[in-house]
Amino acid sequence: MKKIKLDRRSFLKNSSKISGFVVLSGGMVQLNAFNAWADKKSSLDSHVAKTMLLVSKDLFPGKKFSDELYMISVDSLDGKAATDESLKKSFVDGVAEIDSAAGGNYMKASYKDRVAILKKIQGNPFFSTLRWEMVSVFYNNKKVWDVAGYQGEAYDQGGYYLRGFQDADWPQPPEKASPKGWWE
Amino acid sequence: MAKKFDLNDDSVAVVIGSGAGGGTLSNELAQKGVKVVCLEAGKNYSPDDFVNDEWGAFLQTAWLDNRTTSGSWSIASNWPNLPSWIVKSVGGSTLHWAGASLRFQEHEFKVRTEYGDVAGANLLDWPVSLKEMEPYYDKAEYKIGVTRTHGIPGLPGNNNFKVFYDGAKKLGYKDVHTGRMGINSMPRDGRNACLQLGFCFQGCKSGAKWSAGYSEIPKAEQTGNFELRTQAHVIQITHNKSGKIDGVVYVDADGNQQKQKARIVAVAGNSIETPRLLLMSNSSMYPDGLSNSSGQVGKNYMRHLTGSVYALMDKPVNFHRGTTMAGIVTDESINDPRRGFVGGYELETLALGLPFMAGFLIPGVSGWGEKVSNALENYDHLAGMWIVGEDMPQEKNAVSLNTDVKDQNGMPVPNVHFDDHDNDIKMRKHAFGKGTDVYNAAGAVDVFETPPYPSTHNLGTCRMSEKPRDGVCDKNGKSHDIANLFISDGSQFTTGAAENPTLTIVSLAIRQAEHIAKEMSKGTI
Ligand SMILES: Cc1cc2nc3c(=O)[nH]c(=O)nc-3n(C[C@H](O)[C@H](O)[C@H](O)COP(=O)(O)OP(=O)(O)OC[C@H]3O[C@@H](n4cnc5c(N)ncnc54)[C@H](O)[C@@H]3O)c2cc1C
Ligand code: SF4
Repeated sequence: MKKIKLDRRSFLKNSSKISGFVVLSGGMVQLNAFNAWADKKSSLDSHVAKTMLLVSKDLFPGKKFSDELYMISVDSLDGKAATDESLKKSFVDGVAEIDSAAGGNYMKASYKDRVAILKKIQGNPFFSTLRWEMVSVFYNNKKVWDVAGYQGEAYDQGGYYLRGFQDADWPQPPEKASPKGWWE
Repeated sequence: MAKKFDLNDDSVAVVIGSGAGGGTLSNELAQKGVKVVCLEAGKNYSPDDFVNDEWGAFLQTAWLDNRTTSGSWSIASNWPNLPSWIVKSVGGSTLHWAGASLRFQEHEFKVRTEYGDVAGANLLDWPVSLKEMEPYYDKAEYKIGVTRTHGIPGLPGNNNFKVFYDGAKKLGYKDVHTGRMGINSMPRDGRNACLQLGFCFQGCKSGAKWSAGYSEIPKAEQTGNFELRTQAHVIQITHNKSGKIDGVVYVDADGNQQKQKARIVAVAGNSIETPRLLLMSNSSMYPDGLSNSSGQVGKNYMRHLTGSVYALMDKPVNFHRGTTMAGIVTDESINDPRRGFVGGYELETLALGLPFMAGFLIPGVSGWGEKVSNALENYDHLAGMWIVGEDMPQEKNAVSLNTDVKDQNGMPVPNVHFDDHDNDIKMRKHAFGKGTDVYNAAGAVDVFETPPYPSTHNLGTCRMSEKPRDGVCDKNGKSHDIANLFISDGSQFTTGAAENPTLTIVSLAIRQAEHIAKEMSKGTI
């Protein structure tokens, strides 16, 4: 696992650098793949899918998460919308609403403006559905865990007692406070 | 030696619920030769069935029947239909509990005397003292196998504890250790030692953690005096013409109503279902519900002042490794009104996996944006603790029947109303400050003060009292109004204390079993 050292300054500095899609500035190959992904949705049209991807990313902007990872959430919603007309309509309407709030195209607005728009719609059904999909599907995905450093299921691997449950780089407390384990 | 009793057998004690209160009471009564039928709304899951998956386990066993909320507490807006996180399964919430097992302090049994008259609070002394409870605490600790009692070693602290200990010591806290836990630090009582799996909230797959489901129920079954009926959801407690309880009506797995006769009934459905059941059992003789002559059924609902402090540290922590709750600071659990509030609180480490962290770090619609995503993206740098403090009983904080909304059985759902008391707000603020100081001392980059989760500690809705007019049951959990009706779970709590409640629930159940068996043999009930 990568060991990065965070500090307050670099955290604050980094946080002002969040942009839109990485792929859009990442050259032709990535852009083609991105367009192909958006065109391939089972129920959402390309514009709606791309906008929802950006909203998902604006809700939980990550510096280590690639754009492809955010597709997990939109793909899941696309699948649900395929069998639910009213859900699909709520996505189309929701995107139209934020597009118009952005003066035509949400994706072309600045990060600051997009966040302001999301603040305004915070709690409405479109917003809540996208937020909850990120919470319950995106952050529940193994690929996302790998990037964030969550290891999940432990039983099949015999637990963590021999796999780093005490390896954090802080002083080991005295035995009176933290006795030895049964295996020691 | 699982036994079957006839529906018309009116010599049995019926226990409703198989959790900390009901599971313990059932076993204790069966050991004493009392015939027991335990009715449990949930199914039976064994450690093999448990899943190391946060949402998966939640959907498998949490109590998800519809409920409504009202009041100014943050839960009403963040989780309007999930006021509490409790379990519907054999073993009840002891399937998901973390295992923290602390005795109440002497003054916490007599807070009306100690704290005086706190405006807006319905404070009352318990009708029992610590001294009277001590022998039962002792038995409960032995039964559960609580670490640091009865010569049982403490557990080794995990990464989350190392960070917590470092910060707490730098702040000058004295009593900081890996806690008294209902988790085996060595193999004991036919159960394994803890493998530091880190899924204590999902059901312990190694069986190291005490649970009424696999620790109490099988022992009760071995006596031959005990029958467990699963997927048996009690919807009414019935009485005869003289007003004595004569049985219960439940809905079975096929959706059919059954009536089980009973000599006595003990209710242990956790503090929302217990008062709900008493209220739903109203009749022409008891128009306000059973045992409600005082009007206190459902009132004085307490949930502990809670909150969490999470910190993004400057180095990797990996706090998901090892026990969910791994250590404690007890220094703040004293009553020191100079802090600006009465009562005290405990700080206990807590770790959630990334799936729950995403839902709970900043719960509700405002849980989005750079701050929260940065913490989630650096999940391996997180440390965390939970605050458990004494909240004030208030009469207006109540479980009542919402007759506008019906559950799957057509019964009115419970509405849970809660407003924080001024004392609660001051204490939470103090605790957030101390928690933040702990993590800053240990090298935090960013700190989160997280509001309460759906209540895991639900208390006080059928409280015990010296005088019948002040509460619902007496010091043995026996209804003040009806001689053969007992309250056997956390609903009995007169006040909440600063400590996690389960050890006290189990101690009260052991004590109650003694009382019931004695009275039954005397023929008084
Ligand atoms: C995640 C989590 C962590 C916790 N950690 C701790 C901790 O570290 N320390 C601590 O002291 N406490 C902890 N607790 C709290 C502890 O689990 C409870 O205090 C305790 O289990 C309550 O006991 P009880 O008997 O009142 O109810 P429960 O254990 O909840 O049992 C109630 C049972 O009754 C059944 N039931 C309800 N209504 C009916 C009905 N009408 N008919 C039939 N059956 C019914 C339910 O299905 C359930 O099985 C935790 C709880 C949770 C959820
Ligand atoms: S950490 Fe220990 S108690 Fe918790 S689930 Fe794992 S083995 Fe059980």
